[in-house]
Amino acid sequence: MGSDPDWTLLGRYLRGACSPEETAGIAAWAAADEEHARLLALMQAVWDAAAADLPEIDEAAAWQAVRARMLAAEHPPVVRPLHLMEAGPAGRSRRRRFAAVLVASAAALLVVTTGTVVWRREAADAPHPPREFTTARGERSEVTLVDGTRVWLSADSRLQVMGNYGAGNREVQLVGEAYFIVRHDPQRPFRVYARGTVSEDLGTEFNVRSYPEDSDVVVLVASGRVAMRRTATTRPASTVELGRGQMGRLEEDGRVTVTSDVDPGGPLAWREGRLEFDQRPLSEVLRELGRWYDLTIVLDDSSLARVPVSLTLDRHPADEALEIVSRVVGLRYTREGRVVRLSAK
Amino acid sequence: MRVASVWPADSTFIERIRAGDEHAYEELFHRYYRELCRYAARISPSGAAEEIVQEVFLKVWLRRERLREVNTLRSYLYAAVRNHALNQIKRSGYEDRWRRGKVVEQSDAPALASSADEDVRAAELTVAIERALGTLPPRCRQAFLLQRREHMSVAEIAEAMAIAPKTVEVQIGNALKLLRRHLAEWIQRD
Repeated sequence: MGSDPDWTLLGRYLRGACSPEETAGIAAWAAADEEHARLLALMQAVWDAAAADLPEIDEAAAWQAVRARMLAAEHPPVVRPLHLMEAGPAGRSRRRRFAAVLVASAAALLVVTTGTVVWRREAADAPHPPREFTTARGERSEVTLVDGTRVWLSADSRLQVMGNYGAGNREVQLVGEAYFIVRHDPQRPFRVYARGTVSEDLGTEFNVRSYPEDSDVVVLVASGRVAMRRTATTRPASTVELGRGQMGRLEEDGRVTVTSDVDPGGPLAWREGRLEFDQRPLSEVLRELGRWYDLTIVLDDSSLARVPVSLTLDRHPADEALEIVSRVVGLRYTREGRVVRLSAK
Repeated sequence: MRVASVWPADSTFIERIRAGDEHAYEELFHRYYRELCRYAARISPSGAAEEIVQEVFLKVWLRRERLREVNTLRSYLYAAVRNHALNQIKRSGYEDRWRRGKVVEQSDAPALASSADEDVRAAELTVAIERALGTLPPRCRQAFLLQRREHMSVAEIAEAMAIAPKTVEVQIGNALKLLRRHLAEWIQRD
């Protein structure tokens, strides 16, 4: 047979379809030479391995997921001067320089408050390292990205804009809560990464909520469509498409559930300065108020943590808000600086 | 020993990664991701193979100053995946007990008993075969996979492909020959 076997015959052998004479022939060939024996063993291994039906691996998607996490996890966070352009009274532009600084607890230097600002790219071709927009507790902001996409950030939130945003893909990473009005561009998909999920704009306005204390990630679509999927698995089946009035929720156990006909009023009220709670556990309400007003609110009687609360706050100052909450649950509050205690009357 | 040890050709590759070169890291990713996933699946059959490997690639990047010579990169990655996968098994064992409220018998993961080296080689071979299969001529690959994956008989394949049974056997033989050619380096090992 020479150094190569009769391949057709080998195929029959591996299939188990050889006659006794043919089998003996293969055995003799293998015995004749060390190399032959090795080749036979290899082909047997190949034969067995080729039968395994393996799960599909989407390498490209996997790399995107890893890369997003790499960029988001780098320390220290990027600090860089940003050029802002504002139209002056006569319509001429005025350039101002601000430093964007990561917010610690008290040193709130975050530049953007309400009102539209436009970020201008410093050099058309130079790749940009990621940049961050952060709100502290008690703070909200609105940002317009280079491509015209508008983002509202709720309290205690962080938006990281990945390098090359606008030139290539448009990717951002969110911790906290933000509302997006996306400038649709099919050539450059807009994606929001939030703890284990990625939501892709299909021509939309949508809200993403993913605070570290929450056990779930919630995406609510106000208009248009969003494709939401887990980043841990890249199989197509795990993508859900959300339309207007639908809410996608990635639970802690990995399930993605979709709720339709959601009244966006409550979850999106924060953009207008309103907080709406509908039968939410007291502990969650207090946590949100703490974030919103930058307070630490302590509940003396922890057995009340699960009491359901329904109320609406509309741009109330902190003390009025505390007054309302206390009344609703039948407690009283005391306040010292930024610490509030709720206790029995 | 392995063809893989001459990759990458560029000796500054590791330096580029340590300096934070994302493109170099992406090359590394594409070189090893698939086979590390197959490896992780052998050790931790929980379906979390991709997640484990992605975590590892993230960690390796964040600690990239620790990377040394290139020829240990491969074993470094495999070891990292192995550790991470085994930790997951331990951790998920605890979680299962806690969630279900009763003691869950955790049998020894089969991979703990087999040699780590075997798993690595099996993973590499699996990926090498995956890639080699992709290079086969379409009809040849079709005949081969109908036999291997669908377990069809020669007669059934012949009918499905509208060719003679003898031709089916020749095609399967052909597939073996071409696969062998693509996997040539495997013959050299040990």
